[in-house]
Amino acid sequence: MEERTLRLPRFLAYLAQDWTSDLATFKVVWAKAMMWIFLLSDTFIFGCFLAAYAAARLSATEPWPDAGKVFALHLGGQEVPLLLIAIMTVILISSSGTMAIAVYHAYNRNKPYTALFLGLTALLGLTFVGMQAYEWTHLIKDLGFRPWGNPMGAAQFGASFFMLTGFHGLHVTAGVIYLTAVAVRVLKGVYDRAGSYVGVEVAGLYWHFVDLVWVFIFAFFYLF
Amino acid sequence: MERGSGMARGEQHQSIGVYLAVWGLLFVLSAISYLLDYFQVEPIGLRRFLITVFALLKAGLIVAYFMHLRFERLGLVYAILLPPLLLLALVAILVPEGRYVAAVRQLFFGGP
Repeated sequence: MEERTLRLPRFLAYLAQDWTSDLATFKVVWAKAMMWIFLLSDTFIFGCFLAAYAAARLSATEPWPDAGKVFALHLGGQEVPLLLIAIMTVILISSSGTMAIAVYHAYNRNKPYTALFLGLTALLGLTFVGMQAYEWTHLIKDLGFRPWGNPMGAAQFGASFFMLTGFHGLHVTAGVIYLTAVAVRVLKGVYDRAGSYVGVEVAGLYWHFVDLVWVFIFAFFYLF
Repeated sequence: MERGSGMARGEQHQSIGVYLAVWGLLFVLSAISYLLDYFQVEPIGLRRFLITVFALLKAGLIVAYFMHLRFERLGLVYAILLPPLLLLALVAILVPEGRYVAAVRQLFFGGP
C-alpha cells in the first residue's frame, strides 16, 4: 500500500508535533504552563466583562457619562480630563518595566537587584491600588455614583465601572501580595536552592497580564 | 538553565535595552492615546479607531516582549493566542444585540 505522508509547512509540523505529543504538550516548566493557562482563563473573564460593558453601553438609552469629565482632576482652578487615570496608567506601565528588569536580573541570578526591582514593582502596584481607592471614594462619596445609577447619565455606567475596575484592582492587590512573597523568597535564597529562578518569571507573567488588562480598560472604558 | 525542560527558546533573553525600548514605546503609545482624547480629535470614528489600534499595539508589545511569548514554542503560542480570538465572536454577537436592545428601548420606553 502506498504510504501517505502529510506534508506540512515546517511551523505547522512543529505545532502538530507538540500538540500530538504523548508526553507533554507544552515544553516549558509546569509552573509557567499553568500560569499561562490561568491567565487564559482570566482573559476570558475580563473579555466577557468588557463585552458585557460594550453591550450595556450600546443599549443604554440615556447618554453615557463622559469619562473625561467624571475622572477629571482640578489643577489650579483648571479641569484636566482623565488626569488621575493618566497618572495611574503611567504608574502601571512603569511597574511593568521594573518587573521586566526584575526578571532580567533573575536570569542573571542577581539576588539583590531581583529583590529590589520586585519590591519596586510591588510598591508601584500599591500606589496604583491607593489611587484607585481614592478614585472609588471620590466617585461614591462626592459624585454619588452607585452600581445601579448615577447623576451624570446612563445607570449602566456604575455597574460596568465597579465591575471592571474592581476586578482589575483585585488582581493588582493580589499581585502586590504575590510579588512581595516572591521578593522575600528571592532574598531567602529559595530559588538559589531550587536551582531555578523561573518563579520570578512566572510572577512576572502574572504582573504583565494585569498591565495588559489595564491597556484595554484604559482604551475602551476611559478613552472611548 | 532548566534541565531537560526544553526551555532553550524561552530563555533566549534579550538585552535590557530591548525591555527599556518597549517600556518607552508603551509610554509613547499611551501618551498619544491620551492626547487623542484630550484634544477630542474629530471625527470620533477616527479617534476610536486610533485608540483601538494603539491599545492592540501596546498589548502586542507586552505579550511579545515583556511576557516573551515571541520566544516560546509555537505550541504554546497558538494555545494562548487562538482562544482569545473566540472573544471576537462574542463581541460580534453582542454589538448588533446591543443596538437592537437600544432600538427596542427607544421604541417602547421613549428615549431622549
